[in-house]
Amino acid sequence: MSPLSCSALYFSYDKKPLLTDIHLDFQAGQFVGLIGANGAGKTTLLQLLLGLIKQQSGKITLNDREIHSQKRREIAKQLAFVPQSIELPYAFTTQALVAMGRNPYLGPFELETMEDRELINSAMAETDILHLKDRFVNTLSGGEKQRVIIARALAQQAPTILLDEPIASLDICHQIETLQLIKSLTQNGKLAVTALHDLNLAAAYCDRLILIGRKTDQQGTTIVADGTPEQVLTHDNLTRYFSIQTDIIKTNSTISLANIKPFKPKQAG
Amino acid sequence: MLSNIRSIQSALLFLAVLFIGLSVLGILQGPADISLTAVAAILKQSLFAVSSSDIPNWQSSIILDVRLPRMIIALFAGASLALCGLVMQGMFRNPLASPSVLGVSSGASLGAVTAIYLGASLVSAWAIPLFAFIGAGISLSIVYRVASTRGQTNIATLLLSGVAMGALNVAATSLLLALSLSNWDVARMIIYWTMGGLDGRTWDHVLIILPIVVSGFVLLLFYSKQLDLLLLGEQHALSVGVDVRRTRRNLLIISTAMVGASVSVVGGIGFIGLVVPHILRLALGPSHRYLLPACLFGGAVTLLGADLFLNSFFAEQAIPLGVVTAALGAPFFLFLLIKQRFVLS
Repeated sequence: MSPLSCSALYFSYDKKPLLTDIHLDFQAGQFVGLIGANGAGKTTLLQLLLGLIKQQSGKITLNDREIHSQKRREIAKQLAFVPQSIELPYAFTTQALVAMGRNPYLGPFELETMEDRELINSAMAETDILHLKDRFVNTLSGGEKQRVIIARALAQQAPTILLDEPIASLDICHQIETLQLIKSLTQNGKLAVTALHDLNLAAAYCDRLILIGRKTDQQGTTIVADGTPEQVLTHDNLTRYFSIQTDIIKTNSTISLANIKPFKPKQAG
Repeated sequence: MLSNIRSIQSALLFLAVLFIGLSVLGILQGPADISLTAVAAILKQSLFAVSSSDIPNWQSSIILDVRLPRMIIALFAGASLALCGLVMQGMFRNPLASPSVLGVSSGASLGAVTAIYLGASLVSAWAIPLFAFIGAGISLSIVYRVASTRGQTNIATLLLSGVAMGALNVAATSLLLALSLSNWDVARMIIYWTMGGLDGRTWDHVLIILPIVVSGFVLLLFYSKQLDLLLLGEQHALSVGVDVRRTRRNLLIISTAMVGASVSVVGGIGFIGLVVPHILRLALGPSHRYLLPACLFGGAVTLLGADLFLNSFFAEQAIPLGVVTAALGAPFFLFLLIKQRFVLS
């Protein structure tokens, strides 16, 4: 049984197709990186997988059941999401915000049990925000807010976590810590699907990369490569879909990119 | 801002005490002097059917038929406006959202005037609230539809479409009034209704507003956690298990019913829906578990207080209630904003 999969997804905002013919199947324990140039549709794909927006055709299944036929509370027990934009203008305490991750398990008037509180505390400990516990979230820095939202997703105890560029607003130390945290979660059997911009970090941490790009003869974007970092980050793919030229250095089993330069295709005629 | 639970609870208690205190004052205050013991005797008499002959009939009819319904209507209309403002601010994540800004109040007015114009109000006492509810519902759903694309609500578009809808509603109301001028009976009823206020309100009006506001409040309590989550945004709410579309629709229906009920009884009283929830949020923090009861008491106290103020100091002049709520609330609101700006920077 696969925790999350989709087949033949087609989605367009207006009449112009954005994502076409997306077939994906994820396995528990995978750390999947979603890569692609700006506007390729990484965020849109994550929102589709979450069920936030609805595809025009195709099917998304969560635990082998069509996602749009399930209740949101049930979905939230299976699938947590860390959104890209994190404006938190309201004065909730950090602890109250992390506690919202327990919402799918609690009725309208139910208070958190001891067990809930332990889960909330350990989620805050794992993301290194215990010292911010009583601070108001609107006074936190961008990176701290990001970690609060990740902690909330952890408190949700869902086997699958979708993350939309979770490290975009973090400093380098917290970037690495966050990726290590996600890695350790996947090693404990969770599935993480993460949109990432930094190809080097993606190559270093992800087990599997999915490259979204536009095939030459098509209007919408689709999956153009899917596999290990080594299979996906090839000279050909990097020039075609990211417009960069780079050296690919292989050390042990991981690859890294160095000496990255923009690649300008020669104008025809 | 009060952050620990004890001080939030004592603030709530303070509002509740104020609520009870003002209610007593509301019964005692008026041109005719009726003592507290006489009021107690009258209430005892009517509640337990104990006959005590030493109370003159005119006194008991002033208390039971004039002051009591007036006070109850002031309390519940104020509570309803504040609660709707709270829900709309939370649901649309905007401190400027309120029944009057989003064109909901004017939609309710248009509905009520339509009911009078068509003669439906003569058929049943429920025609005006029903039409007001429909008018408010249509206005709000149009505003909401215009501002929402792909499940995201654009705040600037929401407010602008609210303003446009409000202008359209006001124009349509004026048109109906102009058309009805040839029939003076109808025109007089419309003019009398649009003046609003609490004068001449009876138990019929209480029966309209009381059940709707009380049941609306109880229903809203079930949504306090979802309202907290919606405050953070649609994606956040959805990802922790809130069915955003359904929750929004239900909240819109509840708040529209409450606006419809209060507008059909007291007319459009602006400002309470905007300022009371805002002040309470600044004071108590954003958690709806406390804000919902606080707005119930706060809105009630504000409208009843404004009415008492008018009756005690300006009993001779017929000053509309909305003037007082705005004149007292707006400077206080500005003061809070300035104070908050200094704290933040």
